[in-house]
Amino acid sequence: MTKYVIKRVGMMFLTLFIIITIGFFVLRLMPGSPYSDEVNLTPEAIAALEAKQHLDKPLIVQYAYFMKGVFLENNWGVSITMRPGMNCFDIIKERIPTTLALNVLALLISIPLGIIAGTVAAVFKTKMPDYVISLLVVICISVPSFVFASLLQYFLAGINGWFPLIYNSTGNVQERLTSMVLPILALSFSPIATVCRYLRGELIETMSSEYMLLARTKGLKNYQAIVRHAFRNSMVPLANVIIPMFTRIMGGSMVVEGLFSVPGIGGIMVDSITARDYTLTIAALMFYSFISVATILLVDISYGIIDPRIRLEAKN
Amino acid sequence: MKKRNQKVLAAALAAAMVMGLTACGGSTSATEAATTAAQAEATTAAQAESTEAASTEPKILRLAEKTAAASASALIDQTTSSISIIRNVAGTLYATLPNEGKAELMPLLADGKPIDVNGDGKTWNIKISEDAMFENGEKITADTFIYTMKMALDPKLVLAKAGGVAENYIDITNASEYYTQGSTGTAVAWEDVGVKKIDDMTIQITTDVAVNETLVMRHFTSKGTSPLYEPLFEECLSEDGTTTTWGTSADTIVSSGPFKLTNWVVGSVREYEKNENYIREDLVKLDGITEYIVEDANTQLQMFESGELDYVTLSSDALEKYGDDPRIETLPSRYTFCLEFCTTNTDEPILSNENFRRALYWGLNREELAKISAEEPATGVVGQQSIAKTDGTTFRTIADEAGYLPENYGYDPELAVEYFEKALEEENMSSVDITLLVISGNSSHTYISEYMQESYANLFGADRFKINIDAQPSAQNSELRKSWGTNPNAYEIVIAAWNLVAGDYDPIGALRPYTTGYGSRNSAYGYEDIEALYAEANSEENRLNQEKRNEIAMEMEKLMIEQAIVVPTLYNIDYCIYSDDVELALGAWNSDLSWAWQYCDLNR
Amino acid sequence: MADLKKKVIDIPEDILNIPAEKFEFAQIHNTIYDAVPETESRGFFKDALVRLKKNKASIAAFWILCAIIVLAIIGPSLTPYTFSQQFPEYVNMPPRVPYLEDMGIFNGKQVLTNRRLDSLEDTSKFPEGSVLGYSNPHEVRGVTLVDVEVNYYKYVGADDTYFWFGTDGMGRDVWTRLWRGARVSLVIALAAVLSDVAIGIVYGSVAGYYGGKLDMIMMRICEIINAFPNVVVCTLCILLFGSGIPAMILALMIRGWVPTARMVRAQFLRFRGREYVMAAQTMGVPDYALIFRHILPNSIGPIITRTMIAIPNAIFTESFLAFIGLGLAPPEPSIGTLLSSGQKVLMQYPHLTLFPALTISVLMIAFNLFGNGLRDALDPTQRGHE
Repeated sequence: MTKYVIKRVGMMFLTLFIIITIGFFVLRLMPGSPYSDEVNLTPEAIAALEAKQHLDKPLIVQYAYFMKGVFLENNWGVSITMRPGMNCFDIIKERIPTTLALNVLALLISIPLGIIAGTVAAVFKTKMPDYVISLLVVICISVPSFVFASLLQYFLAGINGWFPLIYNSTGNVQERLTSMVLPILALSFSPIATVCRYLRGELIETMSSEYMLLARTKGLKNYQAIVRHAFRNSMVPLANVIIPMFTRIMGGSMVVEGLFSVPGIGGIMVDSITARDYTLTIAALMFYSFISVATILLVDISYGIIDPRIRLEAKN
Repeated sequence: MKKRNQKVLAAALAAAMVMGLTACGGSTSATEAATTAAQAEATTAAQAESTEAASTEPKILRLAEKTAAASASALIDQTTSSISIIRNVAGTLYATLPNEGKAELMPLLADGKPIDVNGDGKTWNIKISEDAMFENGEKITADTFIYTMKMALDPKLVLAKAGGVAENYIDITNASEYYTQGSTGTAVAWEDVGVKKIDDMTIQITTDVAVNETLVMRHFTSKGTSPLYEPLFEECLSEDGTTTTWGTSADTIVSSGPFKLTNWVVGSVREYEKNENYIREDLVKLDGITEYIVEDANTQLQMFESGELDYVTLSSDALEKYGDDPRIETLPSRYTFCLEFCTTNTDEPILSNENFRRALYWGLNREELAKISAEEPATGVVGQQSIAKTDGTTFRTIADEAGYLPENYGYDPELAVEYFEKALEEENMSSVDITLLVISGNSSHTYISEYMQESYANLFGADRFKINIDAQPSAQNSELRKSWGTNPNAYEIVIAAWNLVAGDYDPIGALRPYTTGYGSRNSAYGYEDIEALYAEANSEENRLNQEKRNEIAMEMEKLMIEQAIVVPTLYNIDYCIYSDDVELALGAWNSDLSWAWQYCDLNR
Repeated sequence: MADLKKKVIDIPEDILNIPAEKFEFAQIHNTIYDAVPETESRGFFKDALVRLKKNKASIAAFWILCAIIVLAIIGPSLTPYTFSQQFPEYVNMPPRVPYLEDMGIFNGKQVLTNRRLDSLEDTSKFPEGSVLGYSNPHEVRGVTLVDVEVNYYKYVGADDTYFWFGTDGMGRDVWTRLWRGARVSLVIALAAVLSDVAIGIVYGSVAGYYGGKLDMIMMRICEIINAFPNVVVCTLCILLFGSGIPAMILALMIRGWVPTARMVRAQFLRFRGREYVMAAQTMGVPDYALIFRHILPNSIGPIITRTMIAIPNAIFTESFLAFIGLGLAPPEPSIGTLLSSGQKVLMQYPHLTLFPALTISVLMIAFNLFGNGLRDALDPTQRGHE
């Protein structure tokens, strides 16, 4: 098992290296320079600025500079246009906590809710509660998050004033938490629906299995059978839905962060690409890719723990 | 087996969450510490004041900004959001300040006007005021300014906005050559740059060509020349001296302006406190300013309505909602939306065809377009804010009096069709299919482009003329626009709007982007007659003669309309609304000071 | 041998000693038929269809989908307007439908907020009969403002025109644009998803069938592609190729095929070792025939289900891109561009968001329900309910 994990982690770093290399070349091969904006810059000035960032050198030399920085100096470079002068790593580090807090809280809220809703729907399948929950689930996943978030903001904050309109980054803990309610709510709809839908399917499948029949025949009550046998077995694969979900809402928080003006990492990717802030884009790309690859690794390893057959196969 | 694994999994999950929580917890305490420190300072400041006047609540003005600022230093970034920080923290030798309700150019950190030493307009002495101080009470001296100029123009740092320090209203001797020497290869020593220390409180500026007092003063209103605090700036420099973290956070900027930045959460909020050591502290009536970064216009509007903001700009749709509300203010146009043509484009040679461009000029019903987009129709190129006379008469007023602008806002469908036929004939084409580059998400661009697309197709025939709209995010748009030099087919037609910075008050300045003298112009240009007129306006004899320059500007604009070098469409008009509590320092919006928020008062 | 038999089965003597004449041929008296099944025989798809028909929700979803598709095809031509036609004098009109207006809905009523009370009498501003009433008088800087309820069609002098779903900020008919947009969105989603499936099937089959090193390399490639955040891929794609329909399809495609490939590969891993495959292999069936005739059909059920879920997801992604400013080039509408432009004026003109949002929701619900039904029908072991 340890050998397998080490091998996979090694693979992960190789993957990340390839991703960064591809990202680097794709970004640099796009036409343009970071220094083309409205204010008058003479060609000499642009040349001087580009020379400073090594942008005047051949691509492969730039790549060497970049790799040297990453591997020898652990330096991801300095942002060019978004926050000139600031270390890219620091920019990301400064923005991660807020995004992470929002997303983790959203998951912490949505997973239990999703589990409850899913269980209720499965237990009462093809009865009224199931239909109501299924309808709600479908609505949750079928309305775009920006519409949802706007409506939440308009009705719960704008008209009623129950919650602040925007994220409060300077207040005390209580003020901050209240201001996080709406963004978290907006981020939660889709995970709740996903968990609920998945769990309902899983539960119904397990409930029709033989050992459930056995459990019932040996005299367990319906709820006992569900809680002790079906529920436990359905929860294991659920972990593999929840972990990747984290990556997904991390990406989807961009819209919500924009609407509630949360100083998170959401918009950094698109903004830095269009602003030609190469160094920042690569650093952000690295961050997102790491999360994505690490998630896959986590899922695979957990599968390996749950199901020894997969582990064996990987060894072969 | 299964059970144990479940536990491992649960533990891993829990660990991940705890990590997340501690991470955010860590930041909480950090920012909290910053806030409490700021609050503590605020209370001491308030206490100090309460001894003089029994003020109850600190007067904090609350504003909103759409995008996050890139930097708090004018040497690094000067986009709108950054400028709003810079205005608060940057003091300059000279500045436009409110004086009895009017904006006036006057000495700020300087003591009196610049002195022409030799009388030839090339050597100027500026005396620094004895009262000039940084926010921490340290004195600003000639050494400060020499250090500032030296670092601003440092050839190793190559700060993005160094150009504005070297050459703006005046061209400081050897300054541009000095800071671009890394790429040009010609070594220039600092001693050769036209900035010298005369005594502890006086610096001397030399220029190659003669300039006048106002130009020198204007040059030193530019925020890039605002003094740098040497100890901190040195600390912010990287080891090899090529990058600086100056201006990246509240801790890496030292104010010499009306306010000091106490808390800056990038992308969320910026809090300022009155700078008690500001040289014109007497003008500042607020205790502080809070600027929120709110990307969404609707959110801004809701915040204004719930009383969380004191000022908000209105989109044309929000304008409809406010109807006849007497609080609505109209901001004069800062720029003209013009169509610019990529004449170097080899795929579409028709773009260099004069008659084709004329067809577009005369075929646009600007009045109707202006109505739906809540802007004003533009027949001329120079924006509404351009000032022609010292009494404040705008260039548009004298241009209207001169009477060279076409009637009906330049809409003559028959003439347009005639030109269009002629163009097709000349280019030997049967139909035109062209791409218009716009900024995505910009409502004015959307209105103009979609209106044109439909109305030109109706006018010239949908089978003969087709506009495709290519909407790109603003940075990408500017990227394509500027790359015509290296990539002649980068774009075809673009909607461009040159924002009038203070320097372009002068109409000739506003026309400069259409001449080869302008580095980051959008197309090749270089029309002989226009170039000749521009050179004439800047000749030794006319350079300082505003009346002559106005005449030349009118001549240039007339030629530009005749040859349809660019096609003006609309003057951008902004609407805004501010709360009743605010008492403005200026009667009107001013492009140097915006609404002069720094000097307004609050009655809450 | 005989001894052995005897040991095992002890056959009674009397049976062993039945005389030969007692035996007779069975078929002498009875005619033997092949047993004809009492019910009609049915193949895989027919079987699935029967199961699908039992699922009422899925059938309803199917008809709703059909209705939307029909509307997307004929909807734009039901009005006298084209999708790009502008009426600069009739911008942001509220919805108005003949007959329905008499019932009090879709009657072109609109509340104009913050108008001067003293301007209500002014017929140049408010034509005869356009004002239906006013409310909320309040005073701002000495001026009395009210919210006026007007018949907007009378207000702009267009009493005899009908815009069923109103008009947008450029004075274009929302009904026409909505269905045109639905058409564009569906085409984009369908094209993207179909190419995803095609690539995914081939890629996943090859990886799953051959396995080993090849599989590992191919899966690493998938992992790398998947690790690029979707928004990065889409942004780069649109920046490089412009905001047209092909670029949009490409943007959705680049990463979209990976899940299909993964799923097909998993199916191959499952069936590769089955006896029937080995039998075919030993009989010399070529690889391509094995892949496409013998193993792939096992994955058809999950593939169809995935397609059904992927289509609305593609529409969703498209609308997300439109919202962040990377949407389709005008004047061509898509549900995404309609929604994102509507969101900007959500508070002022909710009808511009309402109709596209309803359409996308109904589409999503229908696709989901129908997809679920199909999944249950095609693969009864996965069945959620019945």
